[in-house]
Amino acid sequence: MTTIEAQLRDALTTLNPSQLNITDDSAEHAGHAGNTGGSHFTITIVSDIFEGLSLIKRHRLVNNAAADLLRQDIHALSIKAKTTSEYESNLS
Amino acid sequence: MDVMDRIKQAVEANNIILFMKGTPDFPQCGFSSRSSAALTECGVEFAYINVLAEPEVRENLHRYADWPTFPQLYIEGELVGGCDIVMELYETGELKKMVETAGK
Repeated sequence: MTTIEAQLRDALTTLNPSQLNITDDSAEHAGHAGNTGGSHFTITIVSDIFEGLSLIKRHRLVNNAAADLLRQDIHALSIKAKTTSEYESNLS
Repeated sequence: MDVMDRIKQAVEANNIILFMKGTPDFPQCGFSSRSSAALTECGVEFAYINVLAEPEVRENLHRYADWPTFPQLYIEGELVGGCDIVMELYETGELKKMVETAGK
C-alpha cells in the first residue's frame, strides 16, 4: 500500500464507511494530456451517510473528505458511493 | 467579459453542456471521452467547451460550482457531475431520461 493510499483511506474514515475499496490505477494514466504527475485512484465506498443524497452530493462528501490530498497528491479520484442497501442489492 | 460571466452565460444558454478536455470527436482525456460518448449514445445534441483551448475557463471553472475536476456536465443550469456520475447515470438509464427532458 502506498503512503498516499493509506492517507486516503484515513481521510475517508470520517465518512464512516462499512466498505472501502481503493485501487491505485495511476499506471493506466501515466503521461496522458493534463496529467501533472499525481496519482489516480478508484474507490468504492459504502456508507449509510449517503442515504437520500444525490450522486453529486455523495461525491462532494468524498471530495471534501479527501480535499487535502486532491490539492496535491491525487490527480484524479474515481468514485462509486453507495448506501448499504444499494450495495447489498447489487451483490444479490 | 469576465471569465466567470462567460461560464455562467454558457451554462445558462445551453440546456446540456459538457466542459471537457478536447472535443467529442477528438477527446484528450479518458474521462472526457467516456462522458461525451455516453451523451452521444443518449442521442441528444449537446454543447461543449474544450477547456484545453480555453485556458481561462480551465483555470476558473472549478470556482463556478465548486467542483474540482473535468469533465463537468451541466443540465438546465445545474451541475450533474463528473465522469463517474455521468457513467453511473448512463448505466442506470437515468441520463437518457434527464437529457430527453432537458431537450424539450
